[in-house]
Amino acid sequence: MLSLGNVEVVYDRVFLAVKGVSIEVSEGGMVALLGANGAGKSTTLKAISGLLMPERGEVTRGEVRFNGRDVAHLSPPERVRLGIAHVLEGRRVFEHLTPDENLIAATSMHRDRRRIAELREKVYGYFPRLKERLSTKAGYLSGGEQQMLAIGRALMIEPKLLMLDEPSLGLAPYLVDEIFAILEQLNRDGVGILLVEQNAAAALDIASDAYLIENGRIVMSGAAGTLKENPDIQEFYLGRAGRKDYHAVKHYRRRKRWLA
Amino acid sequence: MRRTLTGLALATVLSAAALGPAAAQDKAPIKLGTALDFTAVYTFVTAEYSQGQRDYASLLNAKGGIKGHSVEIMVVDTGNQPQRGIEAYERFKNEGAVLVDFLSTPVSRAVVPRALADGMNVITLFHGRSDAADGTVFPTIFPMTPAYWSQATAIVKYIDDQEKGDLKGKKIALVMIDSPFGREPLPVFEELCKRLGYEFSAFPYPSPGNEQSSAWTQLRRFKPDWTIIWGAGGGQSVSVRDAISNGIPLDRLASVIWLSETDANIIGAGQTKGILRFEGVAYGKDLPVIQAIEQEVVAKGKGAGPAEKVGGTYYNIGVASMALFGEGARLALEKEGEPLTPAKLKKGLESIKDFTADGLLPPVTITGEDHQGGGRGRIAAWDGSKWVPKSAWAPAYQDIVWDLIHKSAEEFKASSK
Amino acid sequence: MFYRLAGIRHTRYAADRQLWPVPVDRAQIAALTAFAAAAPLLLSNLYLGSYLLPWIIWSTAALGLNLLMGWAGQIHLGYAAVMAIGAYSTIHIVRAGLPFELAIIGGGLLSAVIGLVFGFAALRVKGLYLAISTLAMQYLVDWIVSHVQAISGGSQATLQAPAFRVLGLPVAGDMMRYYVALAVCLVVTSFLLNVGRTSFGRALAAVREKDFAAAIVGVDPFYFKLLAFWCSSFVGGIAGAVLAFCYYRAVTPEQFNLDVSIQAVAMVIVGGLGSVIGSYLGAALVLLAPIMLNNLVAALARAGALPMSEEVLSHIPLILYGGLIVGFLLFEPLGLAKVYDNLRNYFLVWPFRHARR
Repeated sequence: MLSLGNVEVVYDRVFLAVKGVSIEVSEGGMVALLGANGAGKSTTLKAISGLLMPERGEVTRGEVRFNGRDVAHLSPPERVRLGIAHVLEGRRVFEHLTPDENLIAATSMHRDRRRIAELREKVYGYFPRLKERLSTKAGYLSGGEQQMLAIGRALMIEPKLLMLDEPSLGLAPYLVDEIFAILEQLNRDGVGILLVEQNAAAALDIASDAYLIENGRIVMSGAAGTLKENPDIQEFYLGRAGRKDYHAVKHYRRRKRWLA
Repeated sequence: MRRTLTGLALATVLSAAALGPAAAQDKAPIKLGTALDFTAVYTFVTAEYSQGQRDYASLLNAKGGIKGHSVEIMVVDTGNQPQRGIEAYERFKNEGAVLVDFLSTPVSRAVVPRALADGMNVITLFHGRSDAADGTVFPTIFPMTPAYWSQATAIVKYIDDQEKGDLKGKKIALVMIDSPFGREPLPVFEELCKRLGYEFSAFPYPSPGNEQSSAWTQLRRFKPDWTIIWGAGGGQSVSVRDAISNGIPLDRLASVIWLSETDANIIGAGQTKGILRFEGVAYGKDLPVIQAIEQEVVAKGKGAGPAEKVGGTYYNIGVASMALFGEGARLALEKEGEPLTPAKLKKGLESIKDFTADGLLPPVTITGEDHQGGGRGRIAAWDGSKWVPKSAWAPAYQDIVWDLIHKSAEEFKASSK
Repeated sequence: MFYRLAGIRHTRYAADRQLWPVPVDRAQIAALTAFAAAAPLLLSNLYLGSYLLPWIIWSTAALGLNLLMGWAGQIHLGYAAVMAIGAYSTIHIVRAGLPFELAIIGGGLLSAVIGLVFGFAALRVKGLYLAISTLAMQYLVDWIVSHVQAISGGSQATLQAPAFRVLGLPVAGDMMRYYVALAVCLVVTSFLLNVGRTSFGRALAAVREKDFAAAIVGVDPFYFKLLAFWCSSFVGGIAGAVLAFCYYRAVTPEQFNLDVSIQAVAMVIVGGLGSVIGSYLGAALVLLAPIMLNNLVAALARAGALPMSEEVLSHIPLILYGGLIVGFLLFEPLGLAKVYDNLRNYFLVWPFRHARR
């Protein structure tokens, strides 16, 4: 469904942030994009949703295809109409609107009021908490509720591909579990998901495939299970290298194997 | 590319050939610099004024120039910005201009210190500093026409004549723009108030004058016998409209010089019948100079602008400025000899005596002390299609004017130390 | 290659912290300073007196406004009023008999004090509301200057700049005036170049980026906003005084009206917020482009390329000028400084296309 071919992103005309990234997300797939801070994960998502412009970035090379169509030159709203939804890092709900108004704000493409009502009910089905806070201003919702609202707002456009940028940011573990459970549910309902996460363990648990990005390059990719077993991933991203005999540790930093 | 170049070269040769006979006057052209405001504040007057200047220069050149010298006017827009005026002034100076004109009070004021230091002649017809009439303090600034203080006295003189010399107890109101320009005549009206015994009150309206209703409401309570309006540009037609709607009789409403047939036509030529204004230059085409321009310049297709503007108020002021310059330059060349320099032109202008440009102007006499040219003006009334003079060319209360001029010029002299 | 970075290794902290760590930058600055110092010998009086001189004075003024708008992030629509206070008070102080050096500082201080009073009133509000409050300052000062004859200089509302001396030398002629303006410009420029490296500059940046985040790290936003108003008004007052003494030689209310304030804001925005070189470039574009376009069109008209009336002709430069400003801002929304920065970045990494982030 989505395929990035050798995408290169340059900020401010000279700063190269993403160097030839290729990613595939199949119809209804669930793909995780892992990487350290500053590796280029968010930039990759913005290249897909078209949000690079406000930050003076541009795709200088490569292609972004969605359902076979090159979308690299479309504006963000046009891409939304094709079914690409981007849940931004840090939630970015419309603080002065109520949750209900937030949802309705995302329906500019729908003409049919009944359809909107249905969609709203569907979102409240996924996130019953939002329904309880229906008339509060979104700015007063808790972090977890705001994140739910942000995802729910993205669902109002009936996405074929839902991209989430760190949905677990700043949330309590039980809320993370709740949101990830909903993501799995969404994926079962047929929405393709591209998930960017720092919480690699949680992401690899629900994803079918995963990519590892470092310094703007994809350095590893494969089935989520395979990556999870990889000793490098375990040590650097999952923190499960544990049970080490520290007497046996040699005093040099272990080299990441993909840095040839 | 080569073809274009050849074409250009050919065109240059051809045009040089065509211009040849006309440009073949053996003497160097006399250059003038006019940096005017075509685009910002003075748009109401500039285009016609400049047209008059250039048409008169064309007339001079068609008649063989001044003592064989052709006249070349450099025209540039300043947008009423002082720094652009200064740039233009320095450029004109470099080009060898002997006289410059800005037709803008702010730009003239900004250039005056430089012009005085450089000895460059600046003409400021009917605008600029009133005290520049003092030729001893402002040696190279030439108003040559009644400045605002003399315009104020002329209007009061007319009122006094209409009231048979008895203004005691009469009420005169001044409705003016609230700016230095609008406040400038106040000392004159107050001084005359003491002398003639009328009751005087001023009603300022905020600049730029699109909205004056509160001033006119107050004025109605004052119940003036005579009303004087003091503004320029768009504010003038607003003043007249408000006067009409407040029931002020127009034949008892007089304006500073900046009221033209254009303003009358904006309001309605018929509705403005009777309104009075100060006039320093005769209006209309029935003047030998304007007739000559029509025949020699406009009829031959060499006019600098639309033919229907010829003979208009501001057009004629432009013509008058160049006629005065032409006379001064002629006298300078006769008395001081070749080549014409700013210093010689100054002497020439100061030896102009009883010059009327065949009836276009009142008799103008400029001396080393008096750069105002005698301060003669008259009052004219709009009859629905043209301006009709209501009084003869005459100076009015020049003693008061000159007291103010000397006082203000002294202040200027003291301040530049 | 042009801005060679390879092989430049600073071994002392002082060397690493200097203003221009790249040698090419230093060479450029040295060349520019040398040109500025030698300009009276190289340029004709026309270009010195009516291009370079107003340009450096307006750049000084733009730098002062940029300190407030670019560094501290506060808009000011009454900057010309601040300059007017500086110009009028300096003239009055010199006429009262004090030397010019003291008078100009006095003028700057008076501008700063009055600017600060308005800052107090204005800083209770933010953004667009601040813009309107500063606009009120412009109108108020305009009104006072044009109505109080003791300030504006008699019924003609013109005040001559008296003859003056600097460091014992009489300032007469374009060359001396130019050097006075240049000296002031250099002082202000070096202040602004360094302000970003001081705690003051960092505090201003913090207030600009997020004032409550600044408060939470112990930077009092209100105090630093006022300080920014104070400094900016001081520079504005001095620039106004230099403008009056070295360029106009006489002050009238119209020289400091609202149009001038708008022009100053345009200089800062077109040049680039928070950029020293941007202030210079912005002043050049806003001040000199209309004059140059005017002369260009006039030259074309004289060559016979534009057969139309003088009235139409004089509006063409306005159209071109408007197009130029809109064009520049479309091409590079961050201003002319960013255009320069892009070029410099391009040559920094040349012959490669990209730099590491």
